[in-house]
Amino acid sequence: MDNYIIDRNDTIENLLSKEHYFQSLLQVLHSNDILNNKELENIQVQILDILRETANYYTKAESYSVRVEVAEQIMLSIYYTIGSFLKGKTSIKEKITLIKENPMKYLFSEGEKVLKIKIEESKELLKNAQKSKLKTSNYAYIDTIDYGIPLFFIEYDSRFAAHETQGSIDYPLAIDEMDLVGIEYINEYLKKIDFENQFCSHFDSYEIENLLKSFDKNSDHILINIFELVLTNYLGCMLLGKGGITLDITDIERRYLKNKLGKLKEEEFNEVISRIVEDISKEFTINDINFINYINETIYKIMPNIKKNIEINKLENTFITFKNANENLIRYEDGESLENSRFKDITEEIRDCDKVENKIQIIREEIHSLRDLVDVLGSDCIFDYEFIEIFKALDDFEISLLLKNIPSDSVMDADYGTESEKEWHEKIKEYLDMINEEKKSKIITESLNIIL
Amino acid sequence: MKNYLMSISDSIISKQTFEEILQCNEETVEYGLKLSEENVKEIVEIRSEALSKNGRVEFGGGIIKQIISTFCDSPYISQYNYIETIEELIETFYYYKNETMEEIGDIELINLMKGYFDNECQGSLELLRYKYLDTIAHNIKYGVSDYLNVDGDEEL
Repeated sequence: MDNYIIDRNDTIENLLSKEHYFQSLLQVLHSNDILNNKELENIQVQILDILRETANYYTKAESYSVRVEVAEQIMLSIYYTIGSFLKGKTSIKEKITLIKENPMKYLFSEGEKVLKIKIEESKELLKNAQKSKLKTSNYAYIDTIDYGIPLFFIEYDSRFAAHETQGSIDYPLAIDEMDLVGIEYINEYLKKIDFENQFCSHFDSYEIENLLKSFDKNSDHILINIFELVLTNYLGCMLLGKGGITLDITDIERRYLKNKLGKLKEEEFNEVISRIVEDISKEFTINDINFINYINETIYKIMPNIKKNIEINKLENTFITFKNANENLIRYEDGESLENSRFKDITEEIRDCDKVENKIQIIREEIHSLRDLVDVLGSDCIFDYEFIEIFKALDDFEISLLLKNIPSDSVMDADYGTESEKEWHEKIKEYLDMINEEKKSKIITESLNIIL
Repeated sequence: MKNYLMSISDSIISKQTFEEILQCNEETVEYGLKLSEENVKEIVEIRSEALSKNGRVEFGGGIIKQIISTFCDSPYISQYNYIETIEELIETFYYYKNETMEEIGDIELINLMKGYFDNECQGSLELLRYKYLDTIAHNIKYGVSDYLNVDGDEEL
């Protein structure tokens, strides 16, 4: 083991794939003569033995053969499991010793233990993320934390497909390690979501929502990273010397920033930004080095955009000015939702009514939260013309609230609701087209100003 | 990886199970059936082709042994059609393993094949495939609960 590369941890690590870690490690060790042909063949034969055993579990010992796709999936899962164990070892020397001096079965069972711990740790991280979830209406953010990641844990199969990333993870992180897969990806994702939530928790949700709406009025339905927008504007505020937890940057302030930053040379610019990052860490008493690194990485990702937008005089694309700053935003606190069983009884009662007047009466008397109202509309208990009659019976503010729950015009093609949800989305638009323009415009404006 | 898996599983079978298949002769000699080393090579080759054609991987050569020892007492197999029949049975087995959507375990499928081959089909591989196994595969695909009912009175 006197190969020079053994002492060059970073050199080797940089050559390795994060997704196919063990395969790439074997390849690098073989091409650098650390593993000879015989050793490599021996490893492959041992892995085939594990594959045979695992495939036997897969078929519950009822079949000697499996489809190629299944064998391929199990094989990748075995390599991934071993890779997860080796990734946790710090030096390349230790990894080589483990590979050379232990049966693959041992590395595999150690890998299984690592995965088990990661799964449990990630479940805790998810609980934490759900607890510290931001008060935002961004659909991808809510859906990923409440539905997409929990789905991962339901579907994840660490025995036969440990390398697969199930679930539905749409919300983009500021820095997304797309080359990780399986539980490693989810674990990393949740750690970063936690950093992002922690950072954003220093700001009022009203302030964040205002920033998002000012960035794009359809911010509820687009894929944006909230933390990145908050950090960018806060960076601007810090550069301006604005204290507190405000995020707004006015037009005049932005011009000042353009002048200030535009005059700086490359090194000076970088130095100013680094100092601000230090200030941010101090301001929010962030001591976790991983958290600080994450902020740093995000800032480095943002910096080229700041420079570019200064050059092309489009700094308003980087530092956002609140559009609704002078308008009256309405913060809506929803009423208490019904118990599931009670909700079910009510929807059945509504479904059984012959007359729409009776349906309206039940809704008026029994439904006291926006969430329940939205669920009733999408529960196949109201049909066709009845929607319009119900909308007529609601007041303008209630219609505005309902509008918050449908995809806006420009992204209507991306309505992700069920068929009955899509039906009421269409009907409410039909209703808006029926009423007079003034009332319609008032309802839409009010809806834009509501913060749920 | 597909080719890698197939070639590796082939190389392992030729080393590990060649002898085991030859040893089947001890059991089959009672029925006047015998395989030469050349015959075993040919059968292993046919198995590899059948696996590849049907997109399957097998670890070890258990199926060949199982088919030989299940079918060796069939009144419709004698030395003159032995190798050819075994080869066709191997191909039929893997094809219907896929077609029956893996609902039927290996041993159960081989026993089913043997039952029809000896009785209803009277040694006809065509009848076995195109009448009985096709019907079972069809039943499974269309969710017939009693999928072994091949007489046509479907029960969904």
